[in-house]
Amino acid sequence: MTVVETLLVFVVAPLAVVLLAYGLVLLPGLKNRDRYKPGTPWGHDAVWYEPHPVGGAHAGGHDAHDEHGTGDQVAALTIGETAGAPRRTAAGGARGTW
Amino acid sequence: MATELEDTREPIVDDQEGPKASPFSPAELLRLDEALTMSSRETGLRFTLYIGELPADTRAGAEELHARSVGDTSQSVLIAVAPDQRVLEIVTGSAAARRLPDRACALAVLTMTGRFGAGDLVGGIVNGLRQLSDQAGHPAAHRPRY
Repeated sequence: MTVVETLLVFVVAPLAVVLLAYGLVLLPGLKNRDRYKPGTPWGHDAVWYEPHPVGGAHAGGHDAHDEHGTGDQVAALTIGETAGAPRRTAAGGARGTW
Repeated sequence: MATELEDTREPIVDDQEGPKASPFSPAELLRLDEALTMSSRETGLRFTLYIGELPADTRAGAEELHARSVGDTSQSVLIAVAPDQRVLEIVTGSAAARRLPDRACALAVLTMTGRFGAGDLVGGIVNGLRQLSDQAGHPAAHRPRY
C-alpha cells in the first residue's frame, strides 16, 4: 500500500463520509431558516386570513385570483381605529399561552 | 410601550430585511387556506385566523377584532395568535358558542399551544382547526337524513 492509498483510505474516505452525514443533517434546515422559534421576535405585519366564500373564489369579482390561490388576506385593522365602540359580539372561547 | 419599542427597532431592522408581508411559505399558506376553508364549509361556521400583535389586554383585543369581522359575527370564530406575546385567543360568536362550548375551545387551545411551543405555528393552527370543526360537527341543514 502506497502512501497515497493509505491517505485515501484512512483520511479522505472517512472525511467524505463525515461530510456527507453533516450535509444530510444540515441541508434540510437551510430551507426554513426563518421559521418561528418561541421567544424570538415575530417581525411580521399582522394578517387576518379568511375562508373562501362558499360560492367559490370568483364570486367576489376579484380577477387576479387563481384557482389554487390562498385564502383572502385582509389587511388587519389597527385596534382602536374606529371612533364608535363596536357592540360586543363574543359569547365564549378560550385563551392559552405557550 | 410603543415608544420604548421605537428605540430598539432601528438596529434590528437594519440587520434584516424588515417585516415581510407574509410570514409563511406558499406551501404553508395552502395548508392554512385549506384548513380554514374546509372547516368553515363543513361546519357552516366562519373560522378566521388573525396572526399579529394584540393589545396588552389580549382578550379584549381579540373580542374587539371579533366584533369587527365581516359577515355574521354570531356564526364566526376568531382564532387570534400573538407570537410575540405568546398568547392564543379563540373567540366564538353567540351561535358558534352553542356548538363550540368553552371546554371544546380550551381543548383545541391546548393542542395548538403545545405545537406552538415547539415552534410549529402552521401545524398547531391546522390541528386546532380540525379539532374545532370535529367538535362543531355539521350544521342541521347539511346533516344526512335517515
